[in-house]
Amino acid sequence: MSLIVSAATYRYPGAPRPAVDGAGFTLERGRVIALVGANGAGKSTLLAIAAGRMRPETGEATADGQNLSRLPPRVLARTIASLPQSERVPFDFSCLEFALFGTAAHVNPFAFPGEAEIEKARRALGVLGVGYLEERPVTGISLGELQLVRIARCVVQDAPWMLLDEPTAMLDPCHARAVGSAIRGLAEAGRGIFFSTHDIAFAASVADGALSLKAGRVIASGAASEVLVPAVLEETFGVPFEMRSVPAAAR
Amino acid sequence: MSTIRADFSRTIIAAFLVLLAAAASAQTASVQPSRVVVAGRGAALVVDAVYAFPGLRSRVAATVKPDQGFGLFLSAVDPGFPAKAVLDRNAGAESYAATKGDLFVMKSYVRSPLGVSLEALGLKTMYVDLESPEDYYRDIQAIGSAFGQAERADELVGYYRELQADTERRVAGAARPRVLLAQAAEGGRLWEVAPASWMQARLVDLSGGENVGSAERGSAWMRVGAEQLAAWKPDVVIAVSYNSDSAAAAEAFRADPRFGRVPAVISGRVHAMPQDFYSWDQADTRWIIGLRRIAAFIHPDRFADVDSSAEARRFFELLYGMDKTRFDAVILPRLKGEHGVE
Amino acid sequence: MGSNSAGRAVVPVLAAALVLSALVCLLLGRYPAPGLMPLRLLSEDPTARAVLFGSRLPRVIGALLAGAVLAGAGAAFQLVFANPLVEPGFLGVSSGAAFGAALAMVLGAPLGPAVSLPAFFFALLALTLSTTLARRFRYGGGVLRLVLAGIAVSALFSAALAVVKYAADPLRVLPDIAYWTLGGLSGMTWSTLAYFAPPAVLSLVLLIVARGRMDILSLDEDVARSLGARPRMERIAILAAASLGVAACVAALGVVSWAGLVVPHAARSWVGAKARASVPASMAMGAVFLVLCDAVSRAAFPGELPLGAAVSALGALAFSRFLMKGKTRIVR
Repeated sequence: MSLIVSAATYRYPGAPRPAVDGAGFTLERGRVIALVGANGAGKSTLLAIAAGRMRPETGEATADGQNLSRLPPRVLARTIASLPQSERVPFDFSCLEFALFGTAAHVNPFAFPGEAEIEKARRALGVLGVGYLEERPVTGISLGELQLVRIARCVVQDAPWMLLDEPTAMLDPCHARAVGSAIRGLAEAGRGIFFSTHDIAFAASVADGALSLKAGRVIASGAASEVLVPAVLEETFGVPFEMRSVPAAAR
Repeated sequence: MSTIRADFSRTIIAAFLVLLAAAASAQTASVQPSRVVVAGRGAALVVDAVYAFPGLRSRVAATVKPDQGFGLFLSAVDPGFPAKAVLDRNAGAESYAATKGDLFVMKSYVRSPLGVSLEALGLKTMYVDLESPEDYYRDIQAIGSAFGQAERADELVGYYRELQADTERRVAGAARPRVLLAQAAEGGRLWEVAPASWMQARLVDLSGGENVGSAERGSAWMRVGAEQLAAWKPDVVIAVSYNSDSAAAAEAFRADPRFGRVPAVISGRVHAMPQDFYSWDQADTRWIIGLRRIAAFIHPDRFADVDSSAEARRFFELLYGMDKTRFDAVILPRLKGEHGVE
Repeated sequence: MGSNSAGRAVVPVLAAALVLSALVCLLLGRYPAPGLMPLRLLSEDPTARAVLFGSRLPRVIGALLAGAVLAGAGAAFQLVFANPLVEPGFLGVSSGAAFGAALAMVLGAPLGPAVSLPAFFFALLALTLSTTLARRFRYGGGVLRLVLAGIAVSALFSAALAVVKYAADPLRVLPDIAYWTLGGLSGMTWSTLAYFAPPAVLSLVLLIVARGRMDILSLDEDVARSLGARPRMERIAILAAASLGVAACVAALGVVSWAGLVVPHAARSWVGAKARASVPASMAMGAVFLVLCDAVSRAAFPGELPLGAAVSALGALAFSRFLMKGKTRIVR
């Protein structure tokens, strides 16, 4: 019952070194793992491999023993819900319609979502705190709100594992907090969630486990409290870190 | 007893013949169209051909606005012409149907879509080509038999054949000079030549000339560069214009420094194609007098004894019923180019 | 936004518009005089009957079908390319089809499937060339690359068409080609309709059936894939279905621009962006638009206007109005 990426290596054509080099992790259901690393460390590549979008040159990504890159798209979409950093939205679909796209892998390919799916989408928007945006066009909301709607779409996919690339990148602290509690709630409901982030405090408050990536290699992995410490972080980012505790209200 | 029977049978036979004749003429009378509409692109030149039949002039109900300059020739021929309906060049089948014509005559190339749409409405159509001498012989006869004017058709065809045969006889055996027939564009700055399949090329060929300037393929006047024109080294140049004076075009060719070395210019054999309402070189009824003039340009020695003036007058008299007074009033003032008419 | 607010009214309004415009256009024309034909004439005058049933009826049906196909294809293209400024014409589909049809005519094919099939083939070829070329460009953003590639491919096929015209038999084939390049429904008889209708209807049906996939294809390829789609394959399938209809239109009517660009905008601003509503709405509105344009082309003036003129004029006006009113939001 795990999503396992084992010793994955991938080099982009023409690149001097591999983007990920023997990197891997194990994600169980009900757990949250955060991925930290400098820009260009290979976080997005690792996420893409974990999502089955890219096949690594060595190693593999499996979910419950099945090799992800061999799964047909619809089955993969029902197994992994992955969310890239950002996306273009060229048409003014409503937020509800947008969230409903998450049901595409469950519904008959030529059919349309029904009442049950609409309910699911409504609930997901509510969980992310953007239920009031249902009828608004996705082109007419703030980037932060859009991010929440995108995450809601991911939730609607009903996949056991969720992989999010920098989910709080555009968000103010309030919205980031909403995302954080949504992630915790989803984990408690049994999903496994893996996300990359630059916001260490956010990672520390939300994740159970953590992974640190430097130049494509995993330099630390384990419990969040062990990985997200100044010593490891200084090694990861090459800048000094200081850790301060804030009152429990932040959690 | 026998005389009575003989009288009786003679009467019966006579009556039968009269009835037969009446039936025959009634038959022909009933199928002859009374409202003829000349339709589609190129209609102007078709009407000229139809108007060569005096019996048909009153039966033409409508035609299309002509797109060449020089005013309306047919009004001069037939005072009743201005009263006839004139349709837009792009009129659709419905506008034609609204004329209540019972026969629509048009060029073959307009069959699609106009002819086809008219037929779809159950209207009678007749197609003519009138693009080459052979077309003329065939189509004039066809018009004649469609309208019960076979005699007139024979008269016209005989006239054309005679003049064409005479031309061919006169040029037989002569060396064929290189002839360029070209249209002036932009007042003579640019020149265009006609496709090899058109009447212009046929006329030059029938006149015993070698047609050097023509577009092998293509279906429209083709613009040619000055270098190519000069490279053709024509011995005779015939300058043509459809919307302005051909004499000016000929002069422009002569005066053009780019053509200073062209044999035709050096020997003074640049001619202006004659025109009245229409230029005489195109697929109009006038092609026959155009042929005579072109032949005279190409082989002046063999046509020295030809009275061009009389030939032109005869043409307009035979085809359009213009006597000397009418000709002098209507045609003579409009003559341009080297028409040879006094 | 959109779908729910338009709601119940959409279907009856569109249906009524379709029926009404078809009827009015049937009665509009220049026989016996410019304007509406008096109904009693139908029982009195056999020519009037012939005009209505032999000439106008196939033309009206053809216009409805062509309008639906062009607008539906436009809606599909815009969704699938995630760009509201795209229309089949821009990507060379129309020029390719025109070239294919002309080539077939020059080689002696009679009007019908023998002309429509080459048109379809070259339409697809042009589409493939445009999209491949756009991927190779290193200049400009996604939209610009597509438009530039489309211009290049269109120009290529237009040049090829000019060569074909030059080589065509001047007396028989060329007038057919020249007339048909102008664009128009004056050649839409019952027999032309018999060749035009099947691929057109097939295209419409395919697009309606596949419209459930179109929304997701308008998202980024990564995102679409993560939602369970096969973007490359599905996009090609939908574009092929749309191009089938466009090619049939071009083979029957010549090149008609603008209808595929403007009508989907109008449809989306009324019923919302999602394909479930916007594709059928585009088709219905396109049908009404084209049948009215055709009526104007053939009835407004003594001479018949080329259909493209009326469509472009009205289309450009409507488009400008849309952009000015902000009803269309174009997000880069």
